[in-house]
Amino acid sequence: MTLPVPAARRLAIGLLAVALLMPSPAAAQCPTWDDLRANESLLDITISDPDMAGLRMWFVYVTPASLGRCTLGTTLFDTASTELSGAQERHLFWIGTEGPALHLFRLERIYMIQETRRYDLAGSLALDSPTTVLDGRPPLTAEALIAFEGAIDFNEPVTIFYEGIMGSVPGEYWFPESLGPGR
Amino acid sequence: MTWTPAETRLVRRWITVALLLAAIIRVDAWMQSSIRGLEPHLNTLFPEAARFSGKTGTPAHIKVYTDDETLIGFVFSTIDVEPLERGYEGPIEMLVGMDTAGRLRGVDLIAHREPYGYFSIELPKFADQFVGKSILDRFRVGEDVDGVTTATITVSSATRVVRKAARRVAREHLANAENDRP
Repeated sequence: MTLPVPAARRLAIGLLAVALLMPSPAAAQCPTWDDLRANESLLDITISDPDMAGLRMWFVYVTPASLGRCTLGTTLFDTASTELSGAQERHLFWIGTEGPALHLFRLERIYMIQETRRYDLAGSLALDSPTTVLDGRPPLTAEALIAFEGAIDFNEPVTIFYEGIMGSVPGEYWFPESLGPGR
Repeated sequence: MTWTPAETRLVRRWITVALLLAAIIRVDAWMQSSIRGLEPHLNTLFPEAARFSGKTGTPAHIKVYTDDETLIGFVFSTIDVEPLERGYEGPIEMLVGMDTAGRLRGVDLIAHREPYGYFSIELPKFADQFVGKSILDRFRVGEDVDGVTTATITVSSATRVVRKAARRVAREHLANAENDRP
């Protein structure tokens, strides 16, 4: 025997099911890992040499709240960005790394340039891994947030360097188009 | 012998004019000295040029003129315009020629310390592919720029510095190029 379900209850269950199945507006607008890569707003720096094991790192600019929440999740973004907030012109990047040479990796070896301006690391925060909530991310061994200070022209890319033991490995980062029409 | 006030004024004027001329000649000589040794590269980039200015402006560049003193282009060094850019082992210095329409006339490699430069950016086919490129092109290795070899860091860095330097010089100087007379 089937118990009769009142119409109001059926409607409530239906609405709940729809709400659970539909992604939230924020999630729906979040770019995937591949979207960011295609847009060059996810920088991949790979250090490899025939004589040494590899080290791979990825960078995403997370200062804009929308992108920060998409990358870190709302709770972590809100707490971490507060912890690293400092000067007015502070810029946060999420960095994810992996590779057998991770023990050689040092956050302090990262710096950034734009035109004649150089930005050294102004702060960092190690994150538990896995942290990033970006869809399509590869397996990561370590994650962190790093901060740079100074004025940036979002119409132009920045070059991020990892100053390795044998030489510098640069990569160019283009800010999301919503920040500037450049490229 | 005593000079009248009028004669004194005249002598003072002549001395002032002579000093100004000497200063102009000295500045011109100094500016020309800033491009000493670069003439073969400049003539390769702009064979039709009648005259090259000295290195001037911010970012530093050399202006290129025809016989009738029409500005036809700019030549600049990548380390003058993008001094912080570097490849694997340090800065990659190239002279870049660009016409007043924002098209590259050519790229000439001057100096580098890249470990695999000899089979990447030193190869003529690397520089040749920049001839005729517009500053609006993408300059992406693997797309509109051939990687030439597997020395990707060196080739990407050299490509990036050419694009950034050319766009920066264009931003600073090309908008006013038509009014830019010596």
